[in-house]
Amino acid sequence: MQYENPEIPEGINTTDEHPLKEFVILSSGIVLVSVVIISLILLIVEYSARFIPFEYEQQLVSTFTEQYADTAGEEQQYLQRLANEIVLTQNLPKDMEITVHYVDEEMVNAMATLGGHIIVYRGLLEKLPSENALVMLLAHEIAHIKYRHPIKSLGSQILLQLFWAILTNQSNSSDIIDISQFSSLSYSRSNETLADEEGLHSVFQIYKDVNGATDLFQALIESRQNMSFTIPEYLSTHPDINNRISHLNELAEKNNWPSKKEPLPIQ
Amino acid sequence: MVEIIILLILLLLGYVFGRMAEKRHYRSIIQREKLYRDVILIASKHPPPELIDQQSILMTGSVVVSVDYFKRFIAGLRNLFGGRVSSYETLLDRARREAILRLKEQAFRKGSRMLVNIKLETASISKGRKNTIGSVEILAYATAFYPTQIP
Amino acid sequence: MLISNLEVIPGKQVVKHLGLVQGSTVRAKHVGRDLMAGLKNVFGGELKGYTELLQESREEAVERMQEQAQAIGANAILNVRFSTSSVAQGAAEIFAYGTAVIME
Repeated sequence: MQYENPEIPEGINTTDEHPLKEFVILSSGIVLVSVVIISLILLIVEYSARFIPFEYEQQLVSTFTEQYADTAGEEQQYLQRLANEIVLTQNLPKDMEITVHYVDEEMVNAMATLGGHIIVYRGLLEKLPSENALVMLLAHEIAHIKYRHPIKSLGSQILLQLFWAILTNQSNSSDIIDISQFSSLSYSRSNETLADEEGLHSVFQIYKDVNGATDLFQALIESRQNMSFTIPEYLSTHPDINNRISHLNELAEKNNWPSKKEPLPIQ
Repeated sequence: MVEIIILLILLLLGYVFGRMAEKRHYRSIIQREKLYRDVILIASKHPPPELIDQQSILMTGSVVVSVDYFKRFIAGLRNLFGGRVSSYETLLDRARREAILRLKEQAFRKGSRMLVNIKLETASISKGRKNTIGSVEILAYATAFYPTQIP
Repeated sequence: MLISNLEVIPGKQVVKHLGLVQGSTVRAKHVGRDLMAGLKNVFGGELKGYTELLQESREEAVERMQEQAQAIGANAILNVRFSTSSVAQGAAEIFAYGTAVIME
């Protein structure tokens, strides 16, 4: 019997494909699939939010909003009164209930969140020059709730995180759904524009004049310049403020909403 | 943003160094395979009858290799689409040939020119972050026949 | 090409041993299959997707081993062994090896 050890040619057990090429193909595939799935998720959430009862939204956050219930003071009653007035102008669905909370903190911020809760910080309230600007702020937030933006934002966040977890192969589901993050909901640019328009409309309905409404944004710009020591969250999630002001001015012009009356002071 | 930059730097480092190391390793493997060409290696259980007067001993050769960041990343992407994970194929190919070479080197030093009944084992020693591959051990073992030394 | 896990093929004579030949492949399954397997883990039963995947990989490993044997002029591979190892989560390596021989 003969024994020999011939040379075996290279490249039989390996694939001779350039790794960079594979990398590019795979990454672009991932990006493509992600874009399709993410837009699908956003679309589904946009259309299915209307089927989620508002009551469910209220139950969802009931444990977290209790912490705000104690601060009922003069400011809160004033804000609530204004909100009730605004609600009448916006044709909210019957079951929707708006609750305004006043938080005695420096932060220049206000937000609308699940269950019809609106949170206004003292910092922002102090910066506002007139009641008209305050009404603009509240009407803006109420419009968010009217169009169910909080639940849409939460729904898409949860689904996107779920998708991300599947993509990165995480089996740890505990950090996927975290309702306590409910106050950090952010809204898309188009949602903000919609809320702005609705807000300005409310200001017109209440005062028959829109003068002073955009002072809200002026106050925000100023606070951005002055307050370098805190991060104005309200700004970071809100797209270019100057664009929004000019958009609202155009809207007022188009509808012939006057802008002459002296704005009312904050009570 | 910082995370993305770190990721890209790691990918680049992994790619450059991984590719350099792989090329160097393949060169060394091919060169040493030539060197130990006359050590015959077979997978049959029955030793040839010519070796009847030789002594036999069990020999092993093993190697633990790890995959670079770039390859791990590609494999992670592959995991989503399925298919051939070519980045691991070269890794395992190199590891296996290295293990066999170490076995042969050891046998060669002992004076053996024939290894019979080789078996190969693969084990993943440590799985890395999120259960991706960390390192793989390849163990090659065989019976070496070597001439009886006359005292 | 004769591929067998026998040492000796009855009635045939090995003329020449050509050493070790090996074939291996690493395959991963896509996420869809992973999800289905996750469901199957609840109900039990065969994971058809995985069976198919491993079968395909095994065929490829044998093909590669055969390719090596052909390249060095063998006409049979004896004493073939398979080994499967999971090198990473969701990816399996199939490895086949044997002795390449020339038979008469």
